[in-house]
Amino acid sequence: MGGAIQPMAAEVTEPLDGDATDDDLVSLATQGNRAAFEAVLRRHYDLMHRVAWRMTGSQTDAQDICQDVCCVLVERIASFRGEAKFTTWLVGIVRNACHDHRRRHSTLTRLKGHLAVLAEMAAPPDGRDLFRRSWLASELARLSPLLRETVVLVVGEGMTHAEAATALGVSESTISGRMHEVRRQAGLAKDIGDEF
Amino acid sequence: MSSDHDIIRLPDPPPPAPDARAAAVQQALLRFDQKSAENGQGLPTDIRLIERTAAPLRPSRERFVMKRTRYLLAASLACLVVGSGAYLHLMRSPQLHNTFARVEEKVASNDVAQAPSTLQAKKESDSPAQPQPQIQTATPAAKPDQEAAAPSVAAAPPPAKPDVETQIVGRFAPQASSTTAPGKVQGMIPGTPPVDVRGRYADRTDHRPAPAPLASAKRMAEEVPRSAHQRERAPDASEPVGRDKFANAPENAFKVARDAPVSTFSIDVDTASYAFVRAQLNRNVLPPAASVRTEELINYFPYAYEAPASANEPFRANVAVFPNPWAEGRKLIRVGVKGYALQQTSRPRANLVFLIDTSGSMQPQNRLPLVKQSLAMLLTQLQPEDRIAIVTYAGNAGTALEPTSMSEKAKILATIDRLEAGGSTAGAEGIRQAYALAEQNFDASGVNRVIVATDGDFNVGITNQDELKGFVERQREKGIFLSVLGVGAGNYNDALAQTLAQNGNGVAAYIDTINEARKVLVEEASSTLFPIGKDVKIQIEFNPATVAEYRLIGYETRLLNRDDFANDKVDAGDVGSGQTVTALYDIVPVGGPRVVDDLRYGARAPASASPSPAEYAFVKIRYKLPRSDQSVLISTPVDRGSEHARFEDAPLDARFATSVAAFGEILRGGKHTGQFGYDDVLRIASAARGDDPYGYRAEFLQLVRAAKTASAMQPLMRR
Repeated sequence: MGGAIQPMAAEVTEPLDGDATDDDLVSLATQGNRAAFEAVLRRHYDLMHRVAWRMTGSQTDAQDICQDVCCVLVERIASFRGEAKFTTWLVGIVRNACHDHRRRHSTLTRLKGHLAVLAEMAAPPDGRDLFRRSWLASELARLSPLLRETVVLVVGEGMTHAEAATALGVSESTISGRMHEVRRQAGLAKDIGDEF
Repeated sequence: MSSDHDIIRLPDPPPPAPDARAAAVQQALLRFDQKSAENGQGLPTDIRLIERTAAPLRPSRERFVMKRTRYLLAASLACLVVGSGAYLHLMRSPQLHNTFARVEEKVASNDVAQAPSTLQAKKESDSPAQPQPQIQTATPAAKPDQEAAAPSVAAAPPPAKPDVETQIVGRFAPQASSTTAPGKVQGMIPGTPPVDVRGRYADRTDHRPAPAPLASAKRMAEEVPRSAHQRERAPDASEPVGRDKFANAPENAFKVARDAPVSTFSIDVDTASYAFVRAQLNRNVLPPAASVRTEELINYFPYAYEAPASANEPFRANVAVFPNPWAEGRKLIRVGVKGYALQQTSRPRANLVFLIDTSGSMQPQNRLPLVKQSLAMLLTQLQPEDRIAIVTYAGNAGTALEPTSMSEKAKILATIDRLEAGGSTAGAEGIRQAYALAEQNFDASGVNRVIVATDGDFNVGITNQDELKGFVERQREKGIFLSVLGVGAGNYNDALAQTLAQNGNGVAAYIDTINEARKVLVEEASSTLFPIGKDVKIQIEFNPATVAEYRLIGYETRLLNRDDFANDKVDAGDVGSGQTVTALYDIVPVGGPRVVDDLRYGARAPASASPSPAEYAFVKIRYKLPRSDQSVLISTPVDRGSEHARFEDAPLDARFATSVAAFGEILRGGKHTGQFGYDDVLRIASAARGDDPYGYRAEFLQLVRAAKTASAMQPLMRR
């Protein structure tokens, strides 16, 4: 247990089989090139989905969020100026969409929570969504939303603290502070676990 | 920074659903096209609209002037947050709803105009032999040839001069945008975005992301999309796999027949694990060992067991003993239970009410469109005297179809066709309404059932969970049962669907593809709709004189205590008409290669004192008739009469079940299967394929081959 997750960022940002780089595609897309825009979406859909899923732990939510982001990008992509990595910028948008989604669904989520109680009163859950269960069982689910999004970016996407800071719109030291807190909580959990 | 990666173990994300990806990209491209078309006319309408309601938002032109990226980034993030907030606000504001409603009316009126030809097309395609094209043939624009269909849809021109209203609606409720493209797109299932048509074809072929975008992009000189398409699966493949944690019991261990001669379990006709394994292997990834439930794999396949003679004794056990192909000297005992299959003529009249979730989350083409296709297929299995009603909830809530006799099939099909997802999730009195309709047509001698089709959001009007559960239970006592058809991935997996279906004496079926829908609703329609026995438990007592050790393959999560068997209060699985359930025991006969050593201080076996050494075991099945609370016992011995000396002589179905069991055990780590490999599974399974009219066994062979490839790739991907 406790194996390290390979950083994902490397494979996401490298150019497509010697094809155009993200920046080239984005500037083409900004000029109204449909194929370039589609290529950007397809290239980064997995990244968006992965980040959104790790933030929410729900495939349906992740799909909704990704679709929102794809649509928002139609307008938004023109505002990318290439001073950060495109993926960094994109992850910021995904994260905001996640926030939004959470707000939008808070009522529904509460209801679902109640229903989950009902489910537990009966037969033990059969666990059809094994991915969701793995998410719920992970330490990630127990972190607060702020810490969670930081971990998803730094650990999951292999971002540097500076990149994560840009994506989340906070200072680099804030990120470092949060990671410290995560490390403290994870260590705490491990200590408790060791006692059993 | 590298130490960051060791802090915490992140769960591996699921692969993005190809159809969701295709839908998202298509939606975005649709807007992209709209935007390009509007560029000559200044700002996009929707931006202006957001401006009016959200003051802090900057007009999009100013963005081009800004130089400092930091500001830009902050501003754009703020825009996004505020913008999406505004979006939501607008979605909920009554004014917009009115607009939406008006456009919906427009759509509806178009439908009416179109209805006659739609019905005509349906009637022509209405033969049960080819149920699948039903909905599709009703869509003039959607030709079965995907190459032909895709460009026509993609080429649907964006409105040259959109008026504000449709623009807004087009942006916020993409499905309504079809109003602006008269004729062509309108001809499709109303309310389904063009994407869906494409995605559906993609779904029917092999789950790859729709190839259509390539065709639609042909006017672009660049080759970019093609390479993107080829590559987009790569990140999936390099994901770490098989490291998820699942709460699933490990394989049953061998037990010494002398110490614990009795094995008890509840039957399990669930097949979800097979669908999960299939989904994983189709991605060329081995499923996590703990996600494999062997019994669900085995029970996925129909077996041609000898059927019970009458409905009075609805179950018949088919036992067989044959050599174990993966362990020399061991044997397998196959216990196959076949439920009585109600004849079409003697089948009770069905009074069905469909409660269909039409909330926005049902929009993807693997949800509501799939449900619609599934229902259309189910209709082919019903008799003219059966009655159907349709209630929708969320969005446009209410009774879509009053109870209608199956003789008015065209009317029913037209109603199904008109269902559309969208709108808010204002839970109406959906479930009450559905039950009220069922009650209104209650048939004391027939089957009365409410069938909920949903992707898992159970906001059906009764929000208090106890109330909901109690409501379903009370209705069950009145004789109205509940089944759940789950679609989509992710939130269906609420155990709630299972729980409700259990409380309502129904099945919770999960439908991921049109083929699965056909299996559940057409080939197994009678077992899905007509239960013949409930709380079915199996208990097997082994004869220590012939069996030294035994091991139940699978059913780890379904084990019962020995005394639960006769206790009618203990709940167990239900069996539908004609259903088969199979259990396999791996046994070591006396004198065979023991796995567990004898105890030094244990009592020595009384060598010859045991009764009737001709018997291996004794099988007891306890069940309740659907309307009874008293269980009935049937039993059958497993004697040498049902033994086959060579594996090749064993019944075909037994050999196939053995290969599936071996496959499951290998996927779980092969603790008990020794050197038995995928090639051996292939050999046995292909020799035992038999009739296989629906190709399930052929599909299984493909899965085994996929597993073989995936396991060869596994070490590379772990790196």
